[in-house]
Order: sequence, then C-alpha cells, then structure tokens
Amino acid sequence: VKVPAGTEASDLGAALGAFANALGHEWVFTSDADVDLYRDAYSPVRGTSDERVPSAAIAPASVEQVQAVVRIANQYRVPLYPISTGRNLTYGGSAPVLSGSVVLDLKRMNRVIEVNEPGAYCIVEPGVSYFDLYRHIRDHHLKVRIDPPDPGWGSPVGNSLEHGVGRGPHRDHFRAHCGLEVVTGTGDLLRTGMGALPNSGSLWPRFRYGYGPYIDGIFSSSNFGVVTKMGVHLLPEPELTRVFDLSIARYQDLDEFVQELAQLFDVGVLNSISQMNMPLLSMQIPAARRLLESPGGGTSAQWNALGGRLGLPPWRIMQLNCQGPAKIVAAQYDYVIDRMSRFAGFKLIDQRNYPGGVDPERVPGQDKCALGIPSLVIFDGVAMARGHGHLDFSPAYPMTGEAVRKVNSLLQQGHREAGVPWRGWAGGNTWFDKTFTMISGFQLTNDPQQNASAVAAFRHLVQLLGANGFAEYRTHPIFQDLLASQYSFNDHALLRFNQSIKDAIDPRGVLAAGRAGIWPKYLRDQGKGPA
Amino acid sequence: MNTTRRDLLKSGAAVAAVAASGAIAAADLSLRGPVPAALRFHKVAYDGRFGEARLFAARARALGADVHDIDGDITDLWYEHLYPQWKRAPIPVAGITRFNSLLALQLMAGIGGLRVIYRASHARDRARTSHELYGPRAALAMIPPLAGAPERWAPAAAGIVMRWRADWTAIDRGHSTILDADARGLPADALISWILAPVRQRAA
Repeated sequence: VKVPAGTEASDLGAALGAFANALGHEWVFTSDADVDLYRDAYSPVRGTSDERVPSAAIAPASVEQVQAVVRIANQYRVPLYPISTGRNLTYGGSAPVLSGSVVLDLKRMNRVIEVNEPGAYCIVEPGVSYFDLYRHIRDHHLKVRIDPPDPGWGSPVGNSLEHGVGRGPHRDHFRAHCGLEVVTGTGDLLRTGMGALPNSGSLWPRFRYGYGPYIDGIFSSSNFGVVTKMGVHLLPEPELTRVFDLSIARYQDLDEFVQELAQLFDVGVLNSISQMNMPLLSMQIPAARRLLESPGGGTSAQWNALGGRLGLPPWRIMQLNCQGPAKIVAAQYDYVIDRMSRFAGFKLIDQRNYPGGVDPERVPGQDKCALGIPSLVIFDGVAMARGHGHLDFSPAYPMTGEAVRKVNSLLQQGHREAGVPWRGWAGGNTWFDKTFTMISGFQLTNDPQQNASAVAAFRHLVQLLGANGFAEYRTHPIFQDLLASQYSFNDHALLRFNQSIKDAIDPRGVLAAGRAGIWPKYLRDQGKGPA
Repeated sequence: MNTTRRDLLKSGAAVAAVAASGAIAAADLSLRGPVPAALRFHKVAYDGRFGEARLFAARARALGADVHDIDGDITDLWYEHLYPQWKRAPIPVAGITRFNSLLALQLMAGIGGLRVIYRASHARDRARTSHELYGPRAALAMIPPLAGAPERWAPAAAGIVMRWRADWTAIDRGHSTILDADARGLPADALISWILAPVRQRAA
C-alpha cells in the first residue's frame, strides 16, 4: 500500500478501518487488483516512480456518508481524492495528484433527482453519467436535450467541474450549471446560490447567484469541497438542428475569417461549432511539411498554390450548428452563408438537418454530440489509434487569426527545441466564448523513453506558451504544479490566494491535495507545490 | 438504482507490466477434450469491418453465440445491450475488436462489475499473424496455440472464447497473466479477442 506523504501508515490503516465501519467493508477497496483500477489508464509515466497511484478507494452512497468519511479523514489526516465517474482520460483519469491518497469514488451516488421539462433543468448527483441522464430523459419522454461531451461517458457534475465542454448551445458546461451542494473539507454541508435559502424550491437550479459572493467557481478545477449535487441547465428539444461544414480557399483570409466566426457567435447566430481546422497545414503531406518548416513558413501565395494543387483548403470549419425553431434556424443558416460567401473560394461542404426527436440511429457519429446524443464512437478515432493513450496539451488563446498563427508558431518552436516531432498546425476549438482552445496531442506508447521525451517536451511547451500568455486551462496531474506556476502575476498572488482559501476551509488538507497546484500547508511545509 | 460492490469497481486499462505468455505460433483450432461448464455470454461482439473478426463471429455464432457487429463503434452495444443488462447482473461478454474498443468497454464495464479475464492480441506482420494470450494460467496451459491464415486462427480464437470454462476467472498475478497484458505494445491494426466476466477474486 502506498502511504501518502505526511500520513503515518498506522493512521492510514486506522482510517481505512473507520471507513469500513462507516460504509461497510464491501465499499472499501484495498486489494492490488481493485486499486489498480483507479490508476491512470493513459499515464505518461506509468510504472515509474512519478506515476500517481492511490492507496485505496472508498465508495459512499449518500451525502451523510461523504460527510462521515471526510470527518474520518480529518481525524487521521488521510488525503481523499474525490472522483465522480473518473473518466477524464488524458488529464489523469481517476488517479490522484498525491500518491497514496484514498480515492473517494462517488459513482454510487447516481440519482437523477429531478429533470424539469418546462423549466429545462435537472439536478443530479455526481455518479450520474451523461448516458444515465439521456436514458432517464428518453424513458420519461421529456422534451429536453442534454449537452454531452465527446465521449459521453463522464458525468455532468465531473465534466462541469473540470471545465468540460460539449457541442451544443450549452457547450461550456460549468457555465451551464446552476447551484451546487458541497461537503466541505471539515465535513460541513452547504448549498450555493438559492440553495442556501430554505424553501427556495425550484429557484435553486434556475437562479445561480443568490445573495452575496458567487462562490461556485472555487469548487471547479480545485480541491475546496466535494460536490454532491448540481443543477444543470438543459435545452428545450429544438424543432430543428442544422449542422454544416464549410471552407474557404485563401490562406491570407484567416484574420477576417476568424473575426467573422467570432462575431457570428457573439450575436448568437451560431449556436455552436466543433472546431476550425486546417486541412492543408495539419495533414502529414510532405510538400506541406516542407513549406511549413521553410524559413518564414511559406507565403500566402505558396500556400494557396499548394492548396490548389492538392485540392485542400487552408481553413475549414466543421459542424457549425444552429438549433431552435425551424424558421429561426433557416434564418440563422442563411445569415451565416451570406456572411461567409464573401470569402474567396467559399464552399459549403455539407449540410445535415435533424428534426427534434430524431432517431439516434439516423444520426452519424460525428453529429451525435451536437444533437445531445452521448456516444463512444470517438474511441475508434485517431485519439487512441495505437492503443496506448495520449497526452493532450490544451492551451487557450484569443479567437483571432493572429493568435492562431502565434500559438502554432510557438508549438512549432517548442517541438523543435524539445527535439520531438511536430504534427503540424492544430485547429481552434470553439467551446468557450471569444476563445479558441486547442488539443495538441502526444501519442503515448509502451516505450518509456518515448514517453519520457513527450513528458519533457510537454513541460517545455507549458513554460514556453505560458511565458507568451497562452497557458493551458487544464492539464495532467504531473504538470499541475508547473502550470499553476505560470499564472504568476504579482508574485503568484492567485496561487497564494488559493492557498489561503485552502488553509481556511480545509485546514487539515484532506481534499485532493495538490489539485491545480494547490497544496495544503502541511504538505507545502514538506516542499510540495509549484516552484 | 442499487449499485453492488463489484459494480462500483471500474475496470481500467488499468494494468501494466510483464508479458507472460509470449508469442504463440503453432496451430490448432480449438480446445481439446470435453468442456466442463463453459461461460455463457450475453453477447459476442465483433468489428465487422475486419475479415478476421467476421470469421471469428461466424464461428462463435455457429457455437451458439448471440453476435453483435459493432462496426467500429461500441455505443450501441454498450448502451442498448450491455449497460441495461449489467445494471441487473454482471453477465459475461466476449468479442474481437481493436484495442480502442476494448479499452472503452473495459472502463465502462466497471459499472457492470466485470473485468477482462482473457485477452489475446492478433497482430499482423506482413503475411503472418502473431498471437499473444493473457489470462488464467490454468487456461493458458490448456489452450492450443493459434497459427496459420485467418481462416484458420480466427475460428480457433472464437473456439477458445466459446469454450471458456466458467471457473477460469482468476485475475490475480498468482493465478493469471492478465494484469500483465498491457505491458506489451500493440500495432494500431491489431485485433484483440477478449472476455469480460465477473471475477472470482474479491477485494479486501
């Protein structure tokens, strides 16, 4: 058993015994074979001393049991690592940041407490998956749509708290949540927003602010509490969803093209898209690679000529979608086409129309997510082509053409400096307002040396892009300290503030030690934390 | 929904380490001898995009399996068939897919309380296919080696699965090599035949 730093083995043993008394022996997992299941399936440091592994796992079934185990953890100072369904592959899965932590598995808390059709919201526990919620809605013939991520196997609670995304109008999932119930680091129980008002009824999942400071944000991507209930806003089942793909032909139109895209979002004409990508620059085409890596990276004329020869556009947008009443969707679509038609070589690649309540069997895999249909089809894609997982570098940057060029230029530089192959331009995902994000992946294999090179290159990218103002917004546990150190304004004031919160509301430091670079004082005193 | 203790255990691609069985390259088509109490599978999945998988499925069907073509996407298999079943009871499932599909099923299978108890990779290298098998040592000792053209090994691989004994469910390292299966690299196009089943071992 891996004993966590700062905890005595005898205390861990005593705590496990107390957990068993509180939950029942069958809900405390300590055997190698069972604990193995909570390791990170995609760990880039698997089997090395850097891999983060739990000591045990426990599975409460109720809020009261969560409170009980948090209090026990306080008594023995045993670190807990809460997970909902633990599906966040490439960002650590269900493995803790601090080795030896006891995984607090919330999958048994799997009640869909309410789905309100006229109000278009639901309240769920952390063990409810998007598939569970989807099934509940279908089984009850409710005309509301969820917004699953891709793949859709995670939970609304976990995905929202980790700033996960979907491809519908509610694509920024944390923004679409409304109200939390939280077990604090001392075992207290609070509700945020209107949930703090006794007898507030359905206001809790409708009005997010309540009175006083809006504190929900501190429970996302953090270690300040265990979320045990969440309100989630849903979309009334749209009468029509139109999904379409388009491209333009001139390299030099990037800036205006992205500006147009951003404005279509800002005025609400586009409800969502999947991503802007760059077929000519991202594909493994030798002539394109040579041009990309030539001094200056190729002129517009050269790129246009190459694109013309290969029949590939420089810029393409996939899965734009408009959702709502059919007449409105038609107008939205016409407006988008009108605006985009001014670009030279504009091409509408494809268009698909889906009426509300469409049979999921008639929806191709790539469109399911946008239509609120959870899917696992991505597992057949390139993301796992070699079967050993991947490590994703995920910076955020402004939704501008200038930023697209700058970030890709930095990625090219960073890969070259780290001595690892660069896969070419990465597109911009439009999951958040006014912002592009990117997933630039490293393929992991069973070769420890290759994985070590990927880890070293990743570290270099975190620092290089961070220094240029394009830091990641989520990352794997082994990089969380490094990433937190990039957010260094005013001598790391944000980190110091987070540490103050941590010390105040989780004084024994039992919740998710090290998450997002936030370590409890007793472990900071032992040298843990961002440099 | 009530969740059983074993339900809670999420399966993971959670295992790494040492290859134990090594490449098997001889030839036979099925387990020899009488078959005591074979596992019964709720479904046998196959990825119909691949000829070897279709051969596997044909043999499995002939041996009584309810086969399901995933066609590269396990969503329907899992959501419509396995998840509802696994909510009631952890019923065994087998199949032949690419690794990606197995990994996702492994992770989802935890909700149903199942673990991968047997896994065989079938990796093509030019005209030859090499096979690596992981599972209970007692089973591996009795399984004849796989070899030959797909028309030969794929039905044989189906035979191994369909005649799997119900008591071959150990996963601990003392009795099985399955926890070592992820230690070896796999080519992208390798097919995997596998069994997910309730495990015999119980945790503390």
